Amino acid sequence: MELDAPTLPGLLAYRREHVPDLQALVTVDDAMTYAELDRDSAAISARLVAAGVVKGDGVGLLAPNGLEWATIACAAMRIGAVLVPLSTLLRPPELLAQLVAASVSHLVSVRGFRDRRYLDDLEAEAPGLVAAVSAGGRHAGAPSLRGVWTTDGLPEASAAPELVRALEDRVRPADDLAIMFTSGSRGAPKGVIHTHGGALRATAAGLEARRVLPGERLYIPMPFFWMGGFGGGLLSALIAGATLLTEAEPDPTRTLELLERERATLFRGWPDQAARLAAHPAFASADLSALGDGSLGAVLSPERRPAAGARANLFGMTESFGPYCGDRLDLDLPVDKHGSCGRPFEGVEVRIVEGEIWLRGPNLLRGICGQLRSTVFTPDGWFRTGDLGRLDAEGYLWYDGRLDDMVKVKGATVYPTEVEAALRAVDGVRQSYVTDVAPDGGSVQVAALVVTDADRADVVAGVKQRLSAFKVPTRWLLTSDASVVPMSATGKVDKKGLQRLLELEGTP
Amino acid sequence: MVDAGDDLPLTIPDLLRARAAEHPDQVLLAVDEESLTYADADQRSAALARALLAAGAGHGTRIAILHPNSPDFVVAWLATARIGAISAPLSTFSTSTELVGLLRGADISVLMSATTYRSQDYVAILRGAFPELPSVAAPSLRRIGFATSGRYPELPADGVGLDVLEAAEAAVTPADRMVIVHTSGSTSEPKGVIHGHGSLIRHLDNLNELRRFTPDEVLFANSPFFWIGGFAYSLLGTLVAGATLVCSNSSTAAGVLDLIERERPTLVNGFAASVAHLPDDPTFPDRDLSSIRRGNLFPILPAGVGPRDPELHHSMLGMTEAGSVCLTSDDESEQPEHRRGSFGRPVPGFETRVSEEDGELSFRGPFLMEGYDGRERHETFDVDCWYRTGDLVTVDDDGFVYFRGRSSDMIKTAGANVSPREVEAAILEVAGLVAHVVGIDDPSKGQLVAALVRSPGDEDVDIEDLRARLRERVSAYKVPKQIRVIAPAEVPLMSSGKLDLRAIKELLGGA
Repeated sequence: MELDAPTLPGLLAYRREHVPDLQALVTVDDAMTYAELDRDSAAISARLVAAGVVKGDGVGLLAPNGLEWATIACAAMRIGAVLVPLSTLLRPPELLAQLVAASVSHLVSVRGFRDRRYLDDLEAEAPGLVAAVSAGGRHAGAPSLRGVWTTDGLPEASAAPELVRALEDRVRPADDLAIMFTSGSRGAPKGVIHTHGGALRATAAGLEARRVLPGERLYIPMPFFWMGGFGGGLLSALIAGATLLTEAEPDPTRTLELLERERATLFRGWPDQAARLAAHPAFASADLSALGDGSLGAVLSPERRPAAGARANLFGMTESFGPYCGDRLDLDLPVDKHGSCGRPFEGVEVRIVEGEIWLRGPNLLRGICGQLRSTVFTPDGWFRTGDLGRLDAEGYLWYDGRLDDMVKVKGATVYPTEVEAALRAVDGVRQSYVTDVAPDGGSVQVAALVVTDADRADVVAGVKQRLSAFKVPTRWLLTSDASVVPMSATGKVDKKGLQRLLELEGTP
Repeated sequence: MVDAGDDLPLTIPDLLRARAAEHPDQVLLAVDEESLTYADADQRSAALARALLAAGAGHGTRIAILHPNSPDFVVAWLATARIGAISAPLSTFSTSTELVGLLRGADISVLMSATTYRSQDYVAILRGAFPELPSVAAPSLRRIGFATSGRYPELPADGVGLDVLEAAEAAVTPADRMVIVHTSGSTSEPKGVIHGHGSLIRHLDNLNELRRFTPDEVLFANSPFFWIGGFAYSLLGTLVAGATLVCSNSSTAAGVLDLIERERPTLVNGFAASVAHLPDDPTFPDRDLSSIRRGNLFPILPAGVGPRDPELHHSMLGMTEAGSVCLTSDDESEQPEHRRGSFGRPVPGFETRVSEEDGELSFRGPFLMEGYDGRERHETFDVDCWYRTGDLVTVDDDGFVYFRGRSSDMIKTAGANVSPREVEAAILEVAGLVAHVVGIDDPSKGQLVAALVRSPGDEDVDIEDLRARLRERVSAYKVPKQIRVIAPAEVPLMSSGKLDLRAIKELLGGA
């Protein structure tokens, strides 16, 4: 579709007009068309407006994936409010910190999910907050907050449809669309601000490579509150005119039923998510024949499965609103490009400065909450990603790990990602996590946590065949239980926790 | 560069708290009969901030301010900034149509207004434009408050608790947007220029150092607060310095002179046209203006202080996008003849580039605007972050910059920017006439707005009637001072068929 002046309300109107009856979202037990997404979100918009939400207000959304999440998110974004997706994994202090950092003015939360009751947690963290705001007051714990509702408890009163339309007409590509939280590998979570124009163009630029094409039935087991689910799933489907299959809580048996019943054509996500599904006993009998070649290899039949590294390693970050480089995922890269991240997408300029990847262009973040522009960008507009990489003569990008993960061992540089990749190539290795440790104040060592059922001797021998001796980990922890891996609230490996675990339980 | 690691507070709440603690009883602003001390400013803005929070405003809320230079303006701005909301000062010259356009275009949700100013009855204008709220005409607008004895009866009488105000203030960061100042766009839509807390405060601190603006100075400047000169170079600069600002809204020369005699400014600044009428007052020769020691309002500088030849002193260049002054010099002395007409050098933090092709000046750096409201950054800045000013300059071997004109056709008259396109559109709208609007040089105002109107053929054009109708539609300063009617066949064209602007200016009596 035309993305000259992209805005979320413009996009919804376009879908309503061109494919009203196409399914926008399908869950295990529910579904909605684009016409329904448009109608239902407009109705919620009218209630948000009547409740006092105006353009530029931060609307926090705390809920698992589902039609409700998509409807409320679209309702906020289409009237120019700024969506602040909040992770259902956040602990109460983290949730409060994000509400303050993003100046959330209205919080919409699911009543309960799994064992969590978020508003009760919030009230316990900042006593009086939810009560004061619910009563129409304000509270010092989150001074911007002036509305707190459960997803099923939004005020009933509705603003006139003309007023909602007038607000939609005011939304411009330059207006803020969403604040996405990310944790750097260190430090407090950052609220990354994206505009309608930047986010929608960034998403559109990757659709061709990601094979999210009109009419596709895309499954992504990633939460909407992170980039993968929000940009890679929801907005991708909306821009492409595709259907998104989603679940509140992925569960292999249910997921396989959903994929089969709904004839999913594309399965994207993290490779280990696909691997977990493929390892499930019910996998063999599931009919996933509709899945296209752009899907993750593990869920494809063996003859269609690409060799390791043959498909571009789609690479991006919250600040670039998802992948900023890649290549067609249904085709193998040229042989000499295996293992690369493909080439930068349209609208992104990539430059390597002292090994670090720098990005520039109109689709990147507008800024970071509370950080001066001059600290986020260089004077000539570059964003320093903190990722290490190389650009080759043909413009392919090769990822070398995080700048702050780079390990110096006895004067030599080791990139943990390279070691992790070598480990994953060893038979039987399901997941691998590599970092540096210095147990008991000794010298720095490369240490690895490996999720596998294989013998340690075989894993070590396998990796020695693939890596120079100085890169081979000298401290190991092997486990068959993936839940041992320490994860942060934003779904990334918790580096500090990993280091602690390897220092305590790793052995030479 | 913004955060230099010194003790300069980089948000308005921190800055106000620091200055109010340092000299609570000093006057921040004196306007005619009214004055506001630093302690008053702190207390009154705290009360208003608490009412605004109770009314549902907060971080990022867009709050328009429609006040002449006055304590009410300052209190409204400070209250807005203290809670992290964004101020949008609106011009008191605005017509009803322009006000609605600004409130809509800047997505304002709260307006704090004077009841009346000069001939304008804002209560009548705004209640007429918005018989009820919300309105599709400005769909974000939720509240309009009219100042009555410094309070807004339309806001909740009971503000939020002090702890909530303090928490809201603590959540304001130097990176936050502080103000949207409107300037004429090259189309008929005004452009809102966004400046942040930290960058604008640091910029003014740098400018204060150049002009040696210290706490014991009393600045007289009559630039309106709703434009960047008055807002930043006068008002914010005074707060950053911890000094005193004196302004006058008096419609008579004698009233302004009374104020200057009484408040005894040491420094005068602004556009010379704003005081050009003062020396004509019969009482002028007997006035004691001896407190004035320096500044650029040459018509009122006492004998011995004023320059022999103003052209031999560095002038200054300011623009909304640069947060006021971007070229100036700290050297106030007379310059050698070869520096005649110099505008000084770029101020700290402004990297400059001059186009080899046409001499257009570009800037980049941390104190430039964040951007134009509603426009994507790449529409305004080039890929390397340069902002093209539209000003044509030359630079001498010592780095001094000389203004040579405008690359675009924007008219600069008495400190205000006027878009020819906007005036042409207004003439077409009110009279159905096609016009060509240009700026012609004028010794006191820089440029005058002038219009060559194509005659409709069979009937005469009543120029006075046209002016009167234009005054209903656009601010008075945009109404052409020179209007000439001409047969369509006589409109000067170049051989290419384009308008011959030079010939049009000559026809209108200017160069």
